[in-house]
Amino acid sequence: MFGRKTRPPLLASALLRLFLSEGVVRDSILGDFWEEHREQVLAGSRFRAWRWYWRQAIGLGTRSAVARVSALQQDRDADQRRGVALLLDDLNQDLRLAVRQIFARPVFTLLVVVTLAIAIGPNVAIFSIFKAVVLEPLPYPEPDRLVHVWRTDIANRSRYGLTSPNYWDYREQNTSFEELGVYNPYVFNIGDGEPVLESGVLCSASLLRALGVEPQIGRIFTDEEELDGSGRVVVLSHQMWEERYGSDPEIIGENVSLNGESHEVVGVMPEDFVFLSVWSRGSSFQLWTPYPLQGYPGTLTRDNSSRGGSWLLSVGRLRPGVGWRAAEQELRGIASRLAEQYPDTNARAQVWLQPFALEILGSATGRLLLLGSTVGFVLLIACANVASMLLARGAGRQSEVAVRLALGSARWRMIRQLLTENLLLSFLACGAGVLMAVWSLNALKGLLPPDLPRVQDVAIDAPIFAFAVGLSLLTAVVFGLAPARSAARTNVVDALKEGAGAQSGVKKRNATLRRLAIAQLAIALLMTNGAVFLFKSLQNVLTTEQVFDTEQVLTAHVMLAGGEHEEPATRVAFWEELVARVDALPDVERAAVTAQLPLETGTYEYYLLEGETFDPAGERRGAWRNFISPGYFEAMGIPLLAGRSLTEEDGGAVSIPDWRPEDPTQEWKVVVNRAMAERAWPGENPIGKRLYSIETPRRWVVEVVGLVEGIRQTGPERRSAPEIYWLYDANPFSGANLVVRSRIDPLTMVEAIRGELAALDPDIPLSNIRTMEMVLENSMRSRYFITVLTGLFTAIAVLLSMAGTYGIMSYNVVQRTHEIGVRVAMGASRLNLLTLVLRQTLRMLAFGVAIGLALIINGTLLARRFVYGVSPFNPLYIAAAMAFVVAVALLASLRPALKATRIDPITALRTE
Amino acid sequence: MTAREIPGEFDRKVLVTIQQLESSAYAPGIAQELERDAGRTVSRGALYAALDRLEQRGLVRWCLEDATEERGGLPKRRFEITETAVAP
Repeated sequence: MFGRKTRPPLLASALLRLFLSEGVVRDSILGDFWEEHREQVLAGSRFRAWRWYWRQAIGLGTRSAVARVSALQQDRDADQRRGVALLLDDLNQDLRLAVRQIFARPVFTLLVVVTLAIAIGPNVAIFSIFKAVVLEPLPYPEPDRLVHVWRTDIANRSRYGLTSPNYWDYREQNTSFEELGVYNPYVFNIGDGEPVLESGVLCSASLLRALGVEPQIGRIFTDEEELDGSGRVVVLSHQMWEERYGSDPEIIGENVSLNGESHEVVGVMPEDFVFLSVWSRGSSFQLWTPYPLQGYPGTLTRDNSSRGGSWLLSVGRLRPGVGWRAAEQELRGIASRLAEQYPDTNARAQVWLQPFALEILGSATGRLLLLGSTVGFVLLIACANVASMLLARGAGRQSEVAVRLALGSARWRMIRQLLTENLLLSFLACGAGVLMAVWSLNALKGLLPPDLPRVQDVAIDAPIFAFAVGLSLLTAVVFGLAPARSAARTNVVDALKEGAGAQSGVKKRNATLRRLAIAQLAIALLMTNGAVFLFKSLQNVLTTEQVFDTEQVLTAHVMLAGGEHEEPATRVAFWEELVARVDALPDVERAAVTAQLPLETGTYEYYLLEGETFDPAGERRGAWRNFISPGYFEAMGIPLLAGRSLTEEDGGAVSIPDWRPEDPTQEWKVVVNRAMAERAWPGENPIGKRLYSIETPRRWVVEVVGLVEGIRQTGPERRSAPEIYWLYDANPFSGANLVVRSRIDPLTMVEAIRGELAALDPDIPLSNIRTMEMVLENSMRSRYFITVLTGLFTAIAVLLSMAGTYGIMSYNVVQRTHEIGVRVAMGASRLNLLTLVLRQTLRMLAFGVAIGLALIINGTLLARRFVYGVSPFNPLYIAAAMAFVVAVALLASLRPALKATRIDPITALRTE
Repeated sequence: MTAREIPGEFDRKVLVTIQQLESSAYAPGIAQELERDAGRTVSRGALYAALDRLEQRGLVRWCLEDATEERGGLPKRRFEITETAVAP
């Protein structure tokens, strides 16, 4: 009756069926469509019915499909939200359980937290120093474009400053630098009001432009102010402006007296501006002024007669896109051209560029890496310690774990819960560790060596917190790994069968505990060995003969200022008068002045021996030089080995800096040190020997009248280098060190000396007052810093490993209670039991020492440069370190071993 | 019905049509009435969507009636408005 003619289009119907959700609703809709299609067919138009069906089916199908996709997405979102909600719920449960577990065992928790905190704390503290000193970019715009320029010799990589004519040639002939400037740190006598010495910088205008920091107020000086020689201008630091001038907003245009000369203030640098210098590291510079300066010997002259020597430090800013190696190549080309043009002075001169950031770091990276390794090892030991504690405690929770697994908890869920506990412990330790770091940083800052750059920026800030958190996470994973794996391996059946005293996986667990103990012992040995060598090195440095006296000798810096001290002759007369006055004080044995103190480097001079001619391209002989008053050796306690000391009659007519080629060659008497005599005249008596300056015509010729023992110029443990002592009027300095040997405590002489100085000139302060003992200590501060800290961290590491060994041995004894009971029952003596337990320790020690020795051989390469006076492979000290670690481990095992001997056999035999 | 429960215009028309058709309120009949009023074809997709909405709001319910041959052996839904729809 209802034939195929009234049937709806099959395809359309099938599509509709596909898009609609299965069920009675779909069937009824299909039925409605069938009904309406049939009515249209019966009304006369099959085509119209067909068309109607398709249109409606497509419309309804599309709408349904969209609705279904949207519903699916909503379901998925709901699922996701449900999933997240479930996860959060799980984590919440884990966290609550973790908190319950942690506070159920407060002593255990405290032990773990303290163990981790005393390891995390030092790591955070050392990292904060590392970040401020090494990682932070220099505080200048685009600091990677800043480069330090050194003069070097063609044959080696020694580093010297530039000279002014060479600087001008490099600056004007190069295309690589946007700016190239020069500078010298200096100590200025600020004359207004209370006379005071301040560290500052003589520099070119281009140097300040190269650094790229705009003043907070005013401007930096210009090339014109620098070059015409008349500009007496100065830029002040923010600190100086605040402290000395009360942040006066009208400071620009005011005059400041520098070394007796009036300078106009043209700018004030911002508060956060830091001037970093490769010389006088650690100084806080307060002012910047262009060359020349009254009383300062150097000027930015282009005169070729000043091309020899070295005294200017140079920093430049590269043009964008220019690499420093390309710039070095270019400057080397210029240097080669200058060598051809000026062979007398430049034949051996080359240049060497170094990124400024690396220059500033100096040796800081090496020292901090050593400390970083040390605290890293402490953390490893702490992690091993905590892992052992957790493993041992995990044994007691076996049945609990087994029940949970039996009730359907997934293993990964167990592991996640354990890790949550570990993370919580770790974060608690992180908090305690950060507090410890804050506290210890305050203590550390006093120990930091003065030459460590940018230590004022050391702070616990947000990135350090992030580091602490990250370290805690890593720590949690490291110490949590072993216990988590152990839990994952729990055999449910065995653990349930064995009940509360479950010993499932005991062998594997004990093996892991032993391995952890061995690792701790190995690291403890490595660290002890390192500490032994560092302390021995420090002792060697302390006992190294210094030649000069450290007791009863006072030093102080005096800087002349004012127009009355402008002439060299008046300066010489001043020093002579000052020395005479101080010498005449009661309780003063001897007074003198010197340009350079021992251990604080100085200036260098080249010379020729009798009969030698100058070869510009050949190797040059050089020596340190110092300018002293008569009586210096006696005042400083430097032994005279032959000949005599200098007297006032030993000088030439014209000082070295003032000599001109039209002047006759100056003749001076000098004293040389042992190293100089051995280098220049090996096996001969140096008295009467002559030395000649290298220029033609000769600037000077000197005759050796005395031989003294050699001081160490560059460090208390460095070898004495050749040195020549001139009378002070050979180079009439405006700044010098007063040296006073007294019969009483030299510090009690300060006021009297100050009085004598004030009597000569009330505007000149006495500054940097130190005994030679303090000078010596200051030169060793870096070594103290490394040694003391390494020793401290090693002590912590040894204590931790001792605690770890104690814990593992105690656990071991408990594990073997039944066995011990059996042995006692069989007749074992107390000695037998003691030996049984200690043998375990000795076995662990054997492995630990072997691994430790292997670590020592590799680790020594890092610490080698800090070792002095002893070979880093000295078997005596290695043996001492081994003996110490063995003794500590045996001591830690003693109590558990004694406990084993006191076990009641009856109780023991009842123990499973 | 409260203000929030008042359906949109099309839904209202569907509701009214169901009420008018009383015991004959089947989807094809509702559609034909709406087409007669509007003077144009009514999308069956829109109609069924409106019927779903009205059902979800509790304003309309349906009951299944037996399948017939005219409908290819497929069942029929008869719609009626609920007490909620007529409540003041």
